[in-house]
Parts: sequence; structure tokens; C-alpha cells
Amino acid sequence: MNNSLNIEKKKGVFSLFSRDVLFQHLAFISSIIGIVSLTLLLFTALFNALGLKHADILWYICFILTILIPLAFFTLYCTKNPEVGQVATRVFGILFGGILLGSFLFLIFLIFDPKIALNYLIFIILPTFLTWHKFRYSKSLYLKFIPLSTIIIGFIITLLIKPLTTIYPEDWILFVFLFAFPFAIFIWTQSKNTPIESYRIIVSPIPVFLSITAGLFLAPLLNISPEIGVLYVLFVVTPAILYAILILVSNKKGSMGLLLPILFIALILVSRMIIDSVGASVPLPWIDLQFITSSPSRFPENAGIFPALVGSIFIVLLVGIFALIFGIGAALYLEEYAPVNGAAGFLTRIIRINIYNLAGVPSVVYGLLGLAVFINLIGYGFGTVFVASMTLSLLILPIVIISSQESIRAVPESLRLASYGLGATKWQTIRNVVLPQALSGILTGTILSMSRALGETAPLLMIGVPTTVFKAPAEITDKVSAMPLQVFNWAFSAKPDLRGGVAAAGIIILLFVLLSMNAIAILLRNKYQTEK
Amino acid sequence: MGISNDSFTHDSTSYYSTVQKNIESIYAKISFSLAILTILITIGIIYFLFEDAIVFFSNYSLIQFLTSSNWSPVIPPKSYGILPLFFGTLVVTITAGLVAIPIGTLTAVYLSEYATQRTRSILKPLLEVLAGVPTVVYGFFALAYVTPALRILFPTISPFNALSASLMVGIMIIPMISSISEDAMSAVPNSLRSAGFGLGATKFDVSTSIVIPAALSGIFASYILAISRAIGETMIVTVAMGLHPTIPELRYAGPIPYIHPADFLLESGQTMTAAMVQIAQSDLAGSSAAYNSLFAIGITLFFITLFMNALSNMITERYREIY
Repeated sequence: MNNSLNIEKKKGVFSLFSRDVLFQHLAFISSIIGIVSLTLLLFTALFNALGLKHADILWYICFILTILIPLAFFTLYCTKNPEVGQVATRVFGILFGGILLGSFLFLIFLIFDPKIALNYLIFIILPTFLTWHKFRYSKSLYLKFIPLSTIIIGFIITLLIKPLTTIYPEDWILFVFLFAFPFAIFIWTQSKNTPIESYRIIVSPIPVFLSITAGLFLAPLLNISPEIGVLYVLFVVTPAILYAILILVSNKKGSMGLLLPILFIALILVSRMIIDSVGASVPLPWIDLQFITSSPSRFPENAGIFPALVGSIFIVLLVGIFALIFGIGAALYLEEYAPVNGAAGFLTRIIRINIYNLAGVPSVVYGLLGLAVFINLIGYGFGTVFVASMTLSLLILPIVIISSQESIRAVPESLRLASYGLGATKWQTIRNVVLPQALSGILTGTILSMSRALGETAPLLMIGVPTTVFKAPAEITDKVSAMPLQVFNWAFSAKPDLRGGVAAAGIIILLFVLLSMNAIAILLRNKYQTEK
Repeated sequence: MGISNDSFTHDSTSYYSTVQKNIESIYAKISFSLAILTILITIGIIYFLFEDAIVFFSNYSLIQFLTSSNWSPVIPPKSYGILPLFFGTLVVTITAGLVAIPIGTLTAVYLSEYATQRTRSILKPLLEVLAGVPTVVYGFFALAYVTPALRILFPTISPFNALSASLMVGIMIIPMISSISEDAMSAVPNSLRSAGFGLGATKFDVSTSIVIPAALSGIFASYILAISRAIGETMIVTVAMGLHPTIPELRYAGPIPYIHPADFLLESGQTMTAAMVQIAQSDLAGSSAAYNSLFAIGITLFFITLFMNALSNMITERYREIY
């Protein structure tokens, strides 16, 4: 443990063969053996999913020479000039995050009609937020209930004007209203006291201008749907341009880092040309745009994961909402309200022990509970989005409660006492002091448990979720499949390509979504820790 | 900081206080009922599992369920003997334990005694990844990559076999053993280590004769938790182990009967969890004997894992050394 106590350092060459050193090496090998085997298996899956066995040695040479070595030189250059490296990482992060966010929103608006989303925004969310903001410090109970009534009235209005949505403009124009204008206002307010303040009359309208251009001209030109064009322009191109302007205006040193995406695209084009001209046989990847956007098929080359991808995201989002509501409530009770002594204290102890035991119950048993309660007792249909997400919420509830308890416990007692000292009541203290402090920890825990729900297969099989569906779910009562079940289906397929390359491609997409969720959770936690 | 003006505009009129008190008690009650929900989940699991399991046992004798060595819920002649499934679960659990317990313990020793702060900060999140990979992915790996690799060593290995599934289950439960054991080892105070070093012990002596014995209760608790996780593991065994619940035939070395490991490790088998998935995939219509047997296995599984979790909790609570 302590290096000062490290005795074997003094023993010289022969200590290499001593029992101590052997044991240390054995322990080290043990600690990496699992990681190494998983990495090997993942690389095998990646190799199959990318169809690399079709590539010949010439392709590998071209790939290394034209892409890997230039990129390695750029990385070397970045390590010598840390400012360039920082800018390059940020640009890369913005582009990558933007692609993820754009794709995510596109999937969301496949499930929720953007026309209805706009109605909700105008008639429910905005009025409720404004009234809540206006009356939040009011003393009168009646005024406090105004936001609640705006929700109800707004909901009735949206129901009444639902038929009108047929005469709404096209979806991409709605996206401009939903995202581009708020984005422009956001830039206007945020650019105060930054280097681009003097240019903000030119910079702020960029999102609106670019998204209209994308929807009107760019998308028809590139033959893609205008919705995708507008979303990607708004969340990938615009942030990158804004960042580039910010860097060019303020920081001349790091501006070389902006070249990374251009270099990347140029390298890919050059490498393509060279590989074509030398006639190397290229890999035939199973993962491509077609795989992500099409339905499962009997034919390996047409097979895709789209319905399962939408299904997984739909289920996991609902799971997150359910688990967050129930999880925070129970954790608040256990940490803030629960009595310690007497009969009620005994109940508290039972609840605590019970939660720990529930966390250890096999997931397949939760599937049986879902089957018995939601399907056979209440009578919902087999394998619908609602039943699937309710069952998985029950499964991750104990984990969400335990992690929420930990982050609530981490809020220093002195903050609570200060709040009480100012005359706040218990709930006011919880709402204004404890929850804001603990929220990022609670969210981190919830996202991590959602990623566990994303990978669950057995409970879904128990509640009759089909292993493959051909249409993405659009309603909460639709039949749904999920990515792990689709992989399960492919793993037993009769065709070698389906159970080889296509299944591996499904696994790579599943792990990619899972890792993105974990990355969001880790970013959230790091941000929270640095703020502290 | 989120302290609002609420506290400063606090009104002392009795009307406001009553309203505030009501609001306070409403929030307390809501959070209490959400905490009670977790108890209801447990009661729900026990109640609904028992309800259908009792229907099953009213038609099929409990003794035959526990002693018959033939499991055939769908294909006639139907027979519901849990022993082959129990044997399958035992094989997977023991083999996975043989993989994970030495590796997990050594990992914990390395992390707690040898690793630098920097190594630890890299290794620990990577180890957690092992537990975070979806189990169906491990199952696919076992079926598609591990079994063909094992065929080099054992040419007779069946395409679906217990060995590849157990190896993957073993890798999956390593982090469970290593993280809990490491917590227990890190809790051993440095004064004990210093005393050991002062007596001239080497780091190996200190690790194996001081730290591990001092942390033994935590280490055992981690073993039990990991084994309970292996028992409940479903998708790896469903994908990679096949659908043939069997107990291997006895071989004889002279007069002494024995079971050859190859007869169950290299052959297909079925665990309790995999049998549940198989029934669920073939028959969910309800009120058939196969459907009810689902709950009979479910309740067996629930109580085994509940018992092991409770045992693990009890060991950590009772034998925790307080330094």
C-alpha cells in the first residue's frame, strides 16, 4: 500500500523470481484478464460487423498509409501544441455530440408527432412556465394553483385544436420554429460579454438562416428528407460554425485545430481514390446507413435494426421517467423523512433491507411479475411499449433508489441547517436546497440504470415481447421489440450471414447506444464534481 | 444555491401556516407511499408467484417436482422434474465460480495492496464495464466466438455447451467479487499492515496472512452475491447452453461411480432460468400446466437468490470488524 514500506525494491535482480514478485504479477494479470478477453471478443465482433475479412492486404496498407499515419501526425502536432489539441477535441466533440443529438431528436419525432409537440409547447409548457415563474413566491394558495390550472386548460385546448394540425406547415418548418428561433435567442443572450458580442447581430440569426436554407434547397439537392437536413444543420453544422467563429475571433493560436474535420474528410476522399485506383478489395461492412434505417429482413443485405432501435429508445425513455418519479420519492422518504426509532423506525429498517434484497432478485423474476400483474391481472396486451417499460422500471427501481439515496446523503448537513435557520420548512428545504444539490447525482444514477434497462432481454421475453418487429412503435400500446431481442433473434438465425455479421452489427449498435448513455452520465458526474 | 425568497417572505398569519403545514404533510405522505411501493413489489412477487405455483402443485406433486429427473414441459409425455435444471444451474454456477473467485480475489488484492492510485483509477471503471455489457451480448460471444475457440482444445465439444456459457458468466461476475472484496480489504487499517512489515513480513505475507484474513467476511459476502447473480443469470445460458435438460449418466472406474466433467461441460444442458425463457417463448396463454410450472421455477429461483442475498447481508453485518 505505502511505497515507503516497499521492501522488495532493495533485493536486486533475483527478486524477479521471488514469491513476492510472482504473486504481484499474478495479481496484475488477474486484474486485466477479464478486460483483455472482453476486448478481444469485442474486436472480433467489430471485425465481423465491418466485414473486414473481405479486405485484402493492399487495402490495409492503403488505409494505414492514407488515414492512420496522417492522423497520427496530427495527434503528434496536437500534443506539441496543447491549444490546437484542445480546439480539435472540442470540434470533434461538438460534431459527434451534434450527430447524436440530431439523430436522437429525429427518432423522438418519429414517435411523437412534431405538430402535437408544437401545440404542447405553445399551449401547455410556455404558459405553465410563465405563470409558475410569476407566482412562485406568492403567498396565496390560490395563486399557487394557477400553473396547475394552466396545464389542464392547455391540455383541453390542445385536444380541441388537434384537428387543425392537418393544415399545419410541413414538419421541417415546425423544426425551424421549435429549435432555430429559440437557438437564435439563446445565442443572443449568451453572447453577452464574449468576444463575439460586437458581431451578435450577424451571428444570432445564423441558425434560422441555415436551417431554412437546408430545408428549402440543400435537402432536395442531396435527396434526403428535409427534417433530417434541418436537424443536422441545426445541431451539427451550426454549433461547429459558431465555435469556429468564436475561436477565430478570440484565439488565433488554437485555430489550427479547426482543420481536424476538414482534414478528416479530405483524408477519406483521398484514401478512397487511391484504393479505387490500385484496385484493392474493400471490406463489406454490415453496419451502414441502410442497416440503421431499415427493418429486419430475411435477406442479410437488406436487414436492419431500425424498429428495434426506436423500440429500445422509446422503452428506455419511459423507464427513466417512471423510475425517476418513484425513485426520488422513495429516496427522499428514506433519507429526509423516515423515522429511526420505534415501530415506524422498524418499518424503515424493513424498507431498507427490502430494497437491497430487491436489487438482487434475478431479472427474469421481474419478467414473471410483469406477466402476472400487467398482462394477466390488469389485462394489457402482450409485449406492448407500456408493459415493457413498466416491467423494466420495477427492475431498476431499487438501483435508482439506492443511488439517489447516496447523492441525497452527500448533501452537507450544514446546508440544511442553514435553510432551517432562515425559517424554511422541511419541504422548502428539500425543494430549494437538497434536491438542486443532489439532482445531478440522482440523474447520473438514473441514466446508468437506464443503460442497464437498455441491455435487458430476459424480462422482456417473459412478458411476450416479440424478438423481431417490422414496424417501429408509434404509440404506447403498440407491439415493440428491442435491440437485445433482435440480437437474440439473429443469433439463432438459419443464415450464416445473419447470425454472423448482421448479429455482430446489431451488437455494435447496441453497445454504441449503451456507451453513449454511460458517457452522458459520466460527463454529468464530472461537471458536478468540478462545480463542487 | 437554490434557496429562494420563500424563507424571507414567510408569513406568520395562521392561515398561511395551516396551508403550509398541509402542503408539508402531503409531500411527506407522497414520499412515504412511494417508499411503501417497494415493499408492495416484494409482496407482489411473492403473492403472484405463489398463486400460480400453488395451482401447479395442486395438479402435480411437490415431491415429484423435486425428485423426478425428467423435465419436459411442452413435449409429451409431459414431466416436470426440476433436478436436471437444478443440475444445469449448479454446473454453470460452480464453473463460473471457479473462474471468477480466484480472478476476482486476486484482482481485489492487486487493487487494494499493489496498484498505484493512477492504475486503480483506470482499472476500476474498466472492470465495471464487464458487469455492464448486456448479457445477451455475452451469450452471443459464447456461442459464436468462444465455442469455436474451445473446439481447438476439445474437438468433441457440442455447438451448445455449458463450458462456454460458464466462462462468460464467470467473466461477468468478476467485478462483483473484486469491487466488494476490495472495499473490505481497503477497510483494513494501515496499522495492521505496518505491524506486519515491522515484524519483517513481505508484501505477499502481509496480503495473504493479514489483509485477506482481516477482510474475510466481506470477501465471503462478495462470493455469495456473485454466485447468486450467476444463479439468476438468464440470457448467456439461454443463448449458449442449449435446450437439453439432462443429468449425465454415471461412469464407473471399477466399482466406483463418478461423473466425468466432459459429460456435462462439453454437452448441452439447461438451467432453471433458461427453462423459464423456453416456456415463455412457447406458451404464454395462461392456465396450462407448462405456464404454471414457470411460476414454480420462478418461486424456487426467487427464494434461492433471496436467501443468498440475505445471507451475504447478514455476514457483512455480523462479522464486520470494527477498527
